[in-house]
Amino acid sequence: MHDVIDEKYDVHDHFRMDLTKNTCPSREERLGVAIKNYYGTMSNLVKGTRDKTITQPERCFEQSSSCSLSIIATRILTIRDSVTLMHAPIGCSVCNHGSHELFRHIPESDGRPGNFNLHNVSTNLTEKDIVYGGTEKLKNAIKESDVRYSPKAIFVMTSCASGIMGDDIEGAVSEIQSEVKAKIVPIHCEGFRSRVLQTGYDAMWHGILKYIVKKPEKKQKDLVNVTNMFSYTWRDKAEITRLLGKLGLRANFVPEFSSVEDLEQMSEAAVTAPICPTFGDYLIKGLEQEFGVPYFREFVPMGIKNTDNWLRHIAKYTGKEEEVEKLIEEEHATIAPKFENLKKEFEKIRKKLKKDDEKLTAIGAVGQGRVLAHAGFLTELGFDVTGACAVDYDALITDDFDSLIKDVGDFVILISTFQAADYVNLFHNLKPDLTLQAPFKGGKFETDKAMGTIHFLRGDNHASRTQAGYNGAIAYGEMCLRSFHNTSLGKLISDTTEDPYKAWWYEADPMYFVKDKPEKKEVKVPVIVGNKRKSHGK
Amino acid sequence: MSYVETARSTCALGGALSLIHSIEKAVPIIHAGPGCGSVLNFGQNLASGYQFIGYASGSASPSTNTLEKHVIFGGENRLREQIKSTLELVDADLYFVVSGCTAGLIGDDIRSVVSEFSGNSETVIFSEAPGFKGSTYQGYEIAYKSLIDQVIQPVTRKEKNTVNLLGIVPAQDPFWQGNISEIVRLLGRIGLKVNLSGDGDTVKKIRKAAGVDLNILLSANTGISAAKHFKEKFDVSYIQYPLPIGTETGKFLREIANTLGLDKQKVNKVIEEEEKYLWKYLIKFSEAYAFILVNKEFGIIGDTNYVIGMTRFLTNDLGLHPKLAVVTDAPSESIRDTIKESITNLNYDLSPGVIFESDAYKIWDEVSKNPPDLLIGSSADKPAAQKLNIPLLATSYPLYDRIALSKGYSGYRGSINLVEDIGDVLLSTM
Repeated sequence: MHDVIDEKYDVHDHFRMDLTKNTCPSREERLGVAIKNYYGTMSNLVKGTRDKTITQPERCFEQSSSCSLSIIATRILTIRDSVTLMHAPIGCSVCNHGSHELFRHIPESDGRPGNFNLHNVSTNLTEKDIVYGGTEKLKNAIKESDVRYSPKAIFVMTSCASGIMGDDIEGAVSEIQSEVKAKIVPIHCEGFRSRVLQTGYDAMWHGILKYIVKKPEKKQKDLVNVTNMFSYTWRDKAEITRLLGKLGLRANFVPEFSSVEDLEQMSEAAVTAPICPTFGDYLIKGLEQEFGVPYFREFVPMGIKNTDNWLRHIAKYTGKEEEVEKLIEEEHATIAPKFENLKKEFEKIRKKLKKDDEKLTAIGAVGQGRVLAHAGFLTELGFDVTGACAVDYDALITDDFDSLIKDVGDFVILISTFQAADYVNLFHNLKPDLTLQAPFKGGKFETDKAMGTIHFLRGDNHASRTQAGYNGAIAYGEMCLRSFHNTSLGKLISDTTEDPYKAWWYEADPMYFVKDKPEKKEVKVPVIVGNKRKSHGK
Repeated sequence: MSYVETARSTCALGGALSLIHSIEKAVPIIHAGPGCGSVLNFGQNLASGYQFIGYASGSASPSTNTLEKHVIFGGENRLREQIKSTLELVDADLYFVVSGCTAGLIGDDIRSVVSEFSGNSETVIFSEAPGFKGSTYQGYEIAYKSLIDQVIQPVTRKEKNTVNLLGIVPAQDPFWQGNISEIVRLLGRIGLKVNLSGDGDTVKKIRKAAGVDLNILLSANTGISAAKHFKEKFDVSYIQYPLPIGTETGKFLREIANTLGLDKQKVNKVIEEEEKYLWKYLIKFSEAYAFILVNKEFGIIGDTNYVIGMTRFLTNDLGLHPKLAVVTDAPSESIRDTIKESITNLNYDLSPGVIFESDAYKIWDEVSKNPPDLLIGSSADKPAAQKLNIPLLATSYPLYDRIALSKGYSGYRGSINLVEDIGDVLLSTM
């Protein structure tokens, strides 16, 4: 059984958002292709998207993935003068604990605001509420939050439980808004709502666009909205602030650790520059549609070339075309020798590990946006991109993937929402020399080769923890290099962790658990007949 | 319970998962929304001293990932195929199906789906633990009862001087492993063998858990209904003693010895040796104590176990002054007086104010009215403590600015850890 693609949806996004609605459509409702499972080449993915043959397969085995609520809660919580109010049983709110308050150790001299309090609040739905309904509890919680913390905004996040109970969130909110000072922002992020995590991002932006962003009073020609990512550290923000500062521009980082005022003034910015094009998709389009703020989405400021292009795009919308060329020249003068040195170091490693002119291989990324960043960056460093991982995929990024293939060549991509078994299978079969992943893969990670990370804690304020911009290209490149110099961690994990999967799994097609899959229990590494290589070594 | 700022436990599903993850080679099969397993992984592993627990936890936990169509049409078929495919892929000694909010609300018949696998050679059991049923503590009890009803076997012969430990909730107590291992060490010293410790128990051991002399419930609040159920079903009596810290441990060991009729002289000798070890290090600390700790008033924010154990140790052994005790795990009204008695019945006629509260705002309202000189709490109390300029040692959930691996605070050796950690916090704020 496969989902049928609805003919009315084009693979190109002609979507016009309707902010009078309670929430956004899910990515699968809005786009022709929005899936959470695929294993094959990038080129087939692009082709299949365009001819609409790529569909969401039904799986009979899954592992815990993530949900719309948790993927945005960790971001909303950081909005400094707001309250995150989950209308949920108590457990949903704990997703915030792991990254809560990590900013507090960043010195104020590094630009961290001195006064902030992050409030992670739950209506704590219990069995009694399930029977009698939870809207009264919600209204009381909103009132109480307003009195307690005097926030500028209260984000009301829905959950699986509140969704199935059928609590009328909008009704409760409109009933009570006049009684509280804070702006109440309902966000419909029930975990069961969508198979594609990124629907959660859209739901968050929908609430922010609908309730928080103000009509522009005056345009701020030097203001650049930057949608920053969860895994970017304070140092990444510092690097982007530094670069935009040199152009006489100010970065308005949203939503991570922003103030409500920062969100309100997004409509006055000169341009919206995403760090991940699909994370910020709904916002950048909404700001343009509603307030005429232009955007671009093609580049991610990671690696030298991508950063050049990212800055050039910003300059185009802010009238800094001349300044930006000067900036790029200056930055290159400092960075180029360091980057060349890095490449030399990788060449030494390559000679040790590979035959003839074989390149070092790498697998990177976690989100579909980061596929663009990693593939470009790793290629710049001299790697052969063997494969990439993305937690989900939709037609918003198809054209970018197409351009990427033209740029760096074809490679294998695994679309899998944190399915730990899929990942071990992939890494076992592709055996990359370097693996760059987030640490959410469930423990068993079979590699005794170089293993880096894409995910630093946001409060890690050391210069080595930078990915963005020019300084990030060097710092992140050095992190990758160090991954080769000491592989004991990977070896330790590989040698000592118990393997929960049976041996046959390592020889199986990673899509074995897709229903109606005819091929059983055999390895099928996609063969690439492209501009770079003929096949993947096993 | 009402409105809560900063959850100090996860939900019932979280509690069930924490018990499953503590069992050797046990794999959960989560029948819930797509985020539950990972949310609880973030919320438990990362916020409990960053310890990775479990054979297949977090994104490795099999899960049905309920979507809208299952909510509308029911999720039983999806669960059936998930159990089947998990048996095919995952090598485990125990397959533990556990259902969350969505399955609970749409009314899937978990029991009937799981019963279809009763003829299999693998052990497949289930618990219904929707998040709305309660906290981690309650979920732990729900899952423990499933072990009693579906895994533990009747025995014909009891093994003498063997006990089971229960009541310490893995990961909810960030220092659960260290706390358990110290108690196991001490029980071993007085001649007892621990069958189920609560840390890394095998399915084989769980099966024969009814063959013990006594169940020791190491909590004044958690596990009572499980211990009672164990007694009713397998006639194993239990003794309840909150996690002992410092010289309280001597009383604990004597009470166990009395109940089981162990050799008193031998037990006294063990206690004497252990206390000697404790004093040796406390005397070493006395110089620093005179500078940084003498006559300070302390407050504790924690669950029943930590509040009782630490208040008694810090007052009775370390000579500090108890000011405030905040119990965060919402014990039922019927046992609050007993718990209060354990917290306030201290040497030297000292006793702290005791409140039962889980909401951070109300807790901090109370603390700021009457601020102590030192606080033992959780990482989430740090911003408020900093504002009031009170040094804080975080020991309780959520714990996200420390690493918790083998360390514990229980018994004799654990109490020395507590002294060292308090000293570190005080010195680093001076």
